[in-house]
Amino acid sequence: MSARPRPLPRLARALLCGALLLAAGGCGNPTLWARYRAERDSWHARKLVDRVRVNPRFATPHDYARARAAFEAITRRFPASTWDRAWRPGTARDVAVISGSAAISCAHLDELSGNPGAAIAGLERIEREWAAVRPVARAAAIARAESCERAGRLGEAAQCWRAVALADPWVDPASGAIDPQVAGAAAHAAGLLRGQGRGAAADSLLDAVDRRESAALATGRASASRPDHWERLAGLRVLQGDTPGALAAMRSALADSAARRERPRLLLGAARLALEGGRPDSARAYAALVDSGYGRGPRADGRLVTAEAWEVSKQPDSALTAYAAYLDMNSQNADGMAEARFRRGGIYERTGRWEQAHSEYRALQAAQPTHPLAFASMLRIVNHHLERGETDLAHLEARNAVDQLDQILATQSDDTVALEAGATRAELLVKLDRAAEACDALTALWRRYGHVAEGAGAGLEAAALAERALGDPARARDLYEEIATHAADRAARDSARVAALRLGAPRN
Amino acid sequence: MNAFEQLAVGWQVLVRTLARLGRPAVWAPFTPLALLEFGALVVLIGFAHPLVSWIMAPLLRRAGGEALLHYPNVLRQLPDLYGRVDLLLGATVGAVVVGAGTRVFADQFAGRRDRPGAALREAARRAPALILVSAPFNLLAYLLSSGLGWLIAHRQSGALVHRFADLIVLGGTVVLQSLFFYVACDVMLAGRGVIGTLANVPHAAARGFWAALLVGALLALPLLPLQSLAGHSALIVERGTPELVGWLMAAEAAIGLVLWFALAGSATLAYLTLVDHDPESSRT
Repeated sequence: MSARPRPLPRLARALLCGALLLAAGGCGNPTLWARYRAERDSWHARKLVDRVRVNPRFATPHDYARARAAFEAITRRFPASTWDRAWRPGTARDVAVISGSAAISCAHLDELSGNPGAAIAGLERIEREWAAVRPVARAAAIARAESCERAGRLGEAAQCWRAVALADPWVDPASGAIDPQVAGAAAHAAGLLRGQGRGAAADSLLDAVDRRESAALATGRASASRPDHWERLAGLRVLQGDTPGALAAMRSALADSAARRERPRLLLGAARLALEGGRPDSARAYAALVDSGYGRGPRADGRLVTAEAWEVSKQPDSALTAYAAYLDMNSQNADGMAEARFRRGGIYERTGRWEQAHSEYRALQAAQPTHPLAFASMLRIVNHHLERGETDLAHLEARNAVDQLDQILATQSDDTVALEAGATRAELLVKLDRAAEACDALTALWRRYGHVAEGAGAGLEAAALAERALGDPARARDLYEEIATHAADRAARDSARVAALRLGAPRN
Repeated sequence: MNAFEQLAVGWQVLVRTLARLGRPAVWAPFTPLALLEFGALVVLIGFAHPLVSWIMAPLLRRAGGEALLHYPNVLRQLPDLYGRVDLLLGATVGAVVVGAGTRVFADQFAGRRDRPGAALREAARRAPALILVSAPFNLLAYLLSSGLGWLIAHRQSGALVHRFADLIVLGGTVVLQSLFFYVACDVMLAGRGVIGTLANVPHAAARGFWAALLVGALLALPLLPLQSLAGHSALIVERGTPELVGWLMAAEAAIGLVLWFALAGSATLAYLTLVDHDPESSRT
C-alpha cells in the first residue's frame, strides 16, 4: 500500500503562488509601463501649462514653477542618457518623444515667463542631447527657430529653419505623412534669409530642397500624400520664381491617381498659380476645366479666377462679363461676392465709368456693410473725388461714410469688424481735416486692441498723426513709448522704440 | 396577497434587509464578488503594469485597438470596459454569491446560527444550477439593452429618443428582474433543480411580482446618478482628472455590492413571506 502524498504546507503554497506571480510579472512589458507613466505625467503637466497658456498675463510665478516642476520631473524620470537609444519607432521611442517634449515645454515656459535667452539655450541643449531621436531633435530645432524669431534673433532663426529644411525630408518615414512644419521650413528660412539680404543663400537652399523632394517623388511609391507633396513642391518653385516648374508640379499632382477627389481644388490651385506667375491664359485654361465638370462651389471659384485672368490680360469687358457670371452663380461665398463687386467697381473706375463704379461700391456697402472691402470702397469713393479736386463732394461722401461707420460701431460686437471700421473711420476723419478726432479714435483703438498687430498699427498711426498733423511731439512720444512697452506685435514695438528715440530720451 | 399588500411587504423586506447592513457575517458570502470586482477594476486601470500587462495589453488591444494602450484612453473607455467585466462577473460569480447570501439571510431571518462558510460551500456545489437559472434574466436584459442600442444607432435617432431608450432599458430590466427575483431562493431554499426552478417562475411571480418590482425599482435608483456621470467619462477625462473616472467606477462597484446584498436579502425574506412559507418541507 503506497503512502498518500502529504499536502504542501500553507507557507509553501503561499511561496509557490508568489513565485508564480513574479514569473508572470516578468512576462509583462516594462517599456509599456514606462510609456504609460510618461504619458500620465505628461498629461497632468500639460493641464498645468494650459492654465498658463490661456492667458500668460494672469499666470502667477507659482503657476509657472508648478508647471515647470512637473515637466522637469518627467525629464528626470526618463532621462535622455537612458532613452536616447530608442531611435526606432515603437513604445520606447514614444517614451523618448514624451521626455524630449517635456524638456521642450520647460523651454517654452522659460520664454512665457519672460526669459527667451534661457529658452533658446535650453532648446539648443535638447537638440544635442536628443540628437539620436530625430523627432525630438527636430521639434527642438523648430521650437528654437520660432523662439529666435520671437526674440528678434532673425539670423539664428534662419539658420535653425535652414538646418531643419536640409536635414529632414518632408514625408515622415514613420507615418508616411507630410510634416507641415518641416515642409514649410525651407520657405520660412528663405524668407528670413532674403530679409537679411542673403538672396543667394535662400536660392541655394530652395534649390537643394527642391532637388531632394523631386528625387523622392520620382522614386517614391504611390501614396495618399503624393498629391499634397507635389502641391507643396509647386509652392516651393513659386518661391524660386519658377512658374513653369510649379505648373509642372501641379500637373504631376493632378495626374496622380490619389488626387481624384482633390482634382477641383488642385485645378483651382494651378489656375491661381498661373495667374500669380503672370500667365493669365494658362489660368483661364485651368479655370475652364473646373467650370466644365465639377460642383457649384468649385465652378464659381473657377469663374472668379477667369475674371481676374481677363483683368490681368487688360480685357476689362471680358472681365466684367466673367464677374457678372460669377455673381450670377455664387451666392454662398460672402468673401468672393465682395471681391467680385469691389473688383468690378475698380474696372468701371479705371475705364472712366464712374457712375457705374459708384453704384457698384454702394451695392457692396449695402449688401455686406461689415466686410473689409465695403470699408475700402468708402475710401475709394472719397479718394476718387479728392483726386479730381472735388473737395466738397469728397467731404460729403466722407461725412456720410463716417455716419454709416458710427452706426456699425454702435451695433457691432465683433472685435475684427470694430477694429476695421474704427481704422476706416479715423482715415475718413483725416480726409475731413479732423485730425485731432482721428488721433483720439486711433488712440482708443490702440488701447482696446493693443494685443493684436492691427491695434498696434492704429497706435502707430495715432502717434504719427500727433507728431505731424497735430504738431504735438510730446503726445506722439508718449504713444510710441506706450507701444514700445506694451504692444504684442514685435515689429510694432521695434518701430515705436526707434520713433520714441528719434523724438527724445524716454522719460522716467 | 393583492398588489398593494405585496408592495407593503416589499417595503418591509427591504427595510429589514438594510437593517442588517452592519453585520459582517451577512457580508461574508459577498466577499469573493467584491474581491473580483475591485480586482478587475484595479487590473483594468493598471493594465500597463508588468505584473498584468502580459495578459491585459493583448486583451485591451483586441477590445479597442492599439490606441487603448495610451493614457488616458482606458479611463475614457472604463465605464464600457468595466461594464462588460461586471456583466460577466454578475452572471457567474454574482449568481453563486447571491445563492450563498440567500442561505445566510434565511438562517438570519429564522434565528439560526450564521454559517457563511457552509453557505458558500453549498452555493458552490449548486453553482451550475444558480448560474443557469439566472442566465435567462441576464440574457434577456443584455438583449434588451444591446438590441435597443443597435436600433437607435441604426436609425440615427435624436437625443430625446436616446433618453427614452435609457428609460425603457431601465424599466425593462427592473421588470425582468422582478420575474426572476426568486430563482436563487428556489434553488437554495426549496432545493429545486434548473428545470423545476424555471418552471416555478410563473408561480413565484404570481405570488410576489409586485413586491419584487418595488424592491427592484427602489434599488435601481442609487445607481442612476453614477451611471449618468459615467456616461460623460470622456468629458471628465478632457476637462478634469482622468483618474476620477476610476474612482467613479469604484463607487459604482461599491454601491453595486450593497445592491447585490439588498436584493439577496429582500428576495429571501419576500420568498419566505409570499411564495413559500416553509421551503424546507416543500423540499421533502
